[in-house]
Amino acid sequence: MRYSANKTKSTVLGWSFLIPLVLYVTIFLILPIIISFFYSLTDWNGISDSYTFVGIQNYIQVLTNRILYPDFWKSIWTTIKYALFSIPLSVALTLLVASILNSKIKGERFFKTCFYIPSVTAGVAISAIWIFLLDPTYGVVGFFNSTFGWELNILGSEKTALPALALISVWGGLGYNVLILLSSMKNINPQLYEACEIDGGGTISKFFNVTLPSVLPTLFFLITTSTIGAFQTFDQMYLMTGGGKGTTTIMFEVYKLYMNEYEVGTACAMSYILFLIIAFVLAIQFKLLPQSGGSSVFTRKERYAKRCMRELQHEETL
Amino acid sequence: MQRDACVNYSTKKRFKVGRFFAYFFLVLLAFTFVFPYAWLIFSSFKTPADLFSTTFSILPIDSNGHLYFNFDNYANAVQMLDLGNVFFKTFLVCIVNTALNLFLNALTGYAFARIDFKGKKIAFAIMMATMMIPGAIMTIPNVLICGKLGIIDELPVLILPFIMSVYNCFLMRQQFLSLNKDLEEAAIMDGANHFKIFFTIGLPMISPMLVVLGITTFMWNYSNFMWTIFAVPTNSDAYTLAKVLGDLISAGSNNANLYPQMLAASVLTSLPLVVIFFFLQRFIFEGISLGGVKE
Amino acid sequence: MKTKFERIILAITSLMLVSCGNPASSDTLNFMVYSPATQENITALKNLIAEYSTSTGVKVNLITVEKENYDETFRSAVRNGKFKPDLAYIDQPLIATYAEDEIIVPILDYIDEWDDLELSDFNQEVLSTNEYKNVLYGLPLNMTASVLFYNRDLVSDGNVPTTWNQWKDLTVPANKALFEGIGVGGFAGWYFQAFAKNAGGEIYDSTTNEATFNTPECREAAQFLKDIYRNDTDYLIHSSTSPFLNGNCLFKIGSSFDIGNILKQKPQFNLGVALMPSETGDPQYSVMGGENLAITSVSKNKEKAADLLHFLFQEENNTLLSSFTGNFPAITEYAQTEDTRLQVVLEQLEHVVARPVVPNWIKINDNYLGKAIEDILDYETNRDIENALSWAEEAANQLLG
Repeated sequence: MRYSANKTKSTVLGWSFLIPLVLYVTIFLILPIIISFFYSLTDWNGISDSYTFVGIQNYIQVLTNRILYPDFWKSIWTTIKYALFSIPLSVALTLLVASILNSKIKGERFFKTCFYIPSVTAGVAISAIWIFLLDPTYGVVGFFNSTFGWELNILGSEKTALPALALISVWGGLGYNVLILLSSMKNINPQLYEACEIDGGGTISKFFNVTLPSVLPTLFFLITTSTIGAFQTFDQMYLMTGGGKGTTTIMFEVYKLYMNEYEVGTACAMSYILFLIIAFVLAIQFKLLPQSGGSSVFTRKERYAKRCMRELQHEETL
Repeated sequence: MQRDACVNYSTKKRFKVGRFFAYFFLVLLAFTFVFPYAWLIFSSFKTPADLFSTTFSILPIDSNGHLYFNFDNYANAVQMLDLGNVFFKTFLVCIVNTALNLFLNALTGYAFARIDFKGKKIAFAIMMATMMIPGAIMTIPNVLICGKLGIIDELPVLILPFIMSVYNCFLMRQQFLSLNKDLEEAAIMDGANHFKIFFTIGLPMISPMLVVLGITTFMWNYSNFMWTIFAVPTNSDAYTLAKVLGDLISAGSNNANLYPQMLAASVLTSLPLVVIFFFLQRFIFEGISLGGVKE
Repeated sequence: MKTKFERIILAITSLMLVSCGNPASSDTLNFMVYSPATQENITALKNLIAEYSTSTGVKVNLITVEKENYDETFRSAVRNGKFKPDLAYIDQPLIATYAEDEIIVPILDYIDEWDDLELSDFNQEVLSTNEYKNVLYGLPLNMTASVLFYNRDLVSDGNVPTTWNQWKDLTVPANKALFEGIGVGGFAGWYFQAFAKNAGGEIYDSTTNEATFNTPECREAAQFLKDIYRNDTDYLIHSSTSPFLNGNCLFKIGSSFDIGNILKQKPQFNLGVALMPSETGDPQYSVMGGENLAITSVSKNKEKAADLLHFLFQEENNTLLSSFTGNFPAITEYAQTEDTRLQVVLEQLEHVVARPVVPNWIKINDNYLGKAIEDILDYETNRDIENALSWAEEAANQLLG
């Protein structure tokens, strides 16, 4: 009796806390999704008052019409290549930098500020800077070209344009990722490290047995958000290469449809296809990668370390 | 005892070499971050002629080899951007949005973490699922919705669609989950309800995360450009720095005359963020060690 | 806790107060324009409009938009904007699309009421680009043609090519590129039309409503472009910023707007201007551009908008507005200049090709024709000419229906 009354009370309370979320999600997330899906079944061009209902024609056209949409499948492959390059690199670099910063380095604050600089500079300004620095006649690359006779053409060559954009995005996101990961690392119980040291572990062992398992939830979160971000990447292509030189991503194709071709219906259809792809990739990630439910779940090694600690304390008191 | 000493000795030596490489790596990496920004700042003082000269030099050096600082670019940028007014509007939008965003997301995160209610799992799953949706799907419909709400071309259109953020909500929930329950349980025994716990215990204890997310949300709002093209097409009273800067850069890409002003404008718009971050950084640093380790 | 709440309430209230500004008055004319490039010009424009307001008592709200984003902004404004434009600049290729969707209205009736201006006063070629299905939807404010720029330090006046063979066979100094290029995407498609015409071909057949990209003349034009691109030697220079301006390139294509720009950036640049070379040397065709004005269908003050339009076409005003871009007023009488370089542009305007006034042409131009040319000329993609042009032609015809 009492239990169910309490549960009802807390249910009402819980949902009242959630009112803003529900309102927001309904108005700005669910509604647009429905509207967007509706438009993907029409041939609306974004401005006229009339449109015709075409059913799944848009989807079929995007997937099969190689004359009107020749770059669609290429853009999927480009996006995958981009993700495969930038996500592992980003994760590895973030882990490396965060661990170094976590080990009582002098000037930690200085380094953190450095890495955060791109986040405080407007995205458009950053692109302008890099376009210039990578210019084969002026800029740093130009300097190397003229001094050493190289012929580097970073943004202008298919072989290097996409990796360059991936690198720049890893570079730009490092500050934010390190910040999140570092705050997670600082929450680790230092006694776990001591336990590991006592067992004869050095820096590397400490990392793999203590640090890595403890930040796994946060790491998984970073990987997920990086994946979602990578598959939706658009800004850099737009600003730096205009989609040329093998850098057309799915999102870029979608925006081209919105802005250049005035095919809102087809653009919506393409974004739904993108959504399915992202869902698919994330489902794979959920299956393959170790993740926690988000709360403090200890791995076997951590539990072992804790046990050693308790034994040690026990010994000392004896 | 001896075993400990042996262990300590070998770890110390390995440590020194490792530390050297660590520092070297960090410094090299930091250089790649500082250099472009330094280039931006120095170039903003150059004249167009020097900017495009093939002799690459970071510092603005004129034909006599003297260092000079051309402030014209800045004067022009301020005038072109109508900086005073736009600055105020931008800050207004960013502060209001960040405050509302943090508060509402913390509220929601707390509910997911600490209140037990029916349908919690489903609600959470749906919320997480919305993260996967590409932003492009939402832009045009959101413009239509905002049009129906009557807020297009007004400041609220820059705030309302971003008032909640699934990322922030999720991170808040994580933080609340990791808090020690002792204090809260004590408060419950004293007869406090969830609202009170949230305000008196919950919020203060996750203040490091609040600061971090506050900064990132503020910056995101500050740089939000593409949305303004659709959402604020005609009302110059509601222009933000991002929009004005974005316009200037678009103009600059077609007209190299404007390149220097563009650079100056970029520096001007970045400066407040750098300053804010530098000062709040200290706060985060202290905040994290305070709210950190527990038994 | 209380202070936090209070602060939030205060913020929301103040925000609402701030945003509840003046509602759009129904007697105000909203005039959407391309943003002039310099502060000086912006002020001149504002003064001109103020002059109009004082003399007629009609309030005009000037909305300046960067040309890059103009299209999206215009569409958003027409549908949802607080200040829906009454009179607006329209990019020429979009006139057909907007006319078809009834976003802009026919304006012949309004013009007939003007006694001081006739349609015959306009440059007819330029005027025709504003006609869709034989109905006039816009008025050209100004016009320009693209011409050949050359660096007089690298090419002497006597050596300026008028035929394609002359251009191809020019000797180029070491480490310099011959030609800066025709750009990518929309630009490539736009300029290609002139090169096709100069080879004796057309890219669109209005009698059958079909694209004709894959004709021998067009293929010849594409091959010629490949020849002057000289990809084995010039590719690196092509990838850098403004090679012509920085003295690394002999030739460039530009319009009157670019003349002003170049001289402002590098006043001592030795700029030469000539007509566009063609295969035979006579006639020498080029593309035309310019700015057009139209009245929108969402306007509640079409008569007043037409009146403002009339004002803008008065000689001094038209000349002033055109001067922002360095273009010429589209009214033949007003199009005069003393500047020797600009006189070449005027001469070029006698032989220009007009873009087909067909809905969706801009889509065809930017994404299919332009992309095909881009792929043909790119040093890495190096797409086969026939393959590229036939693809673009098929896509265009699928879209033309």
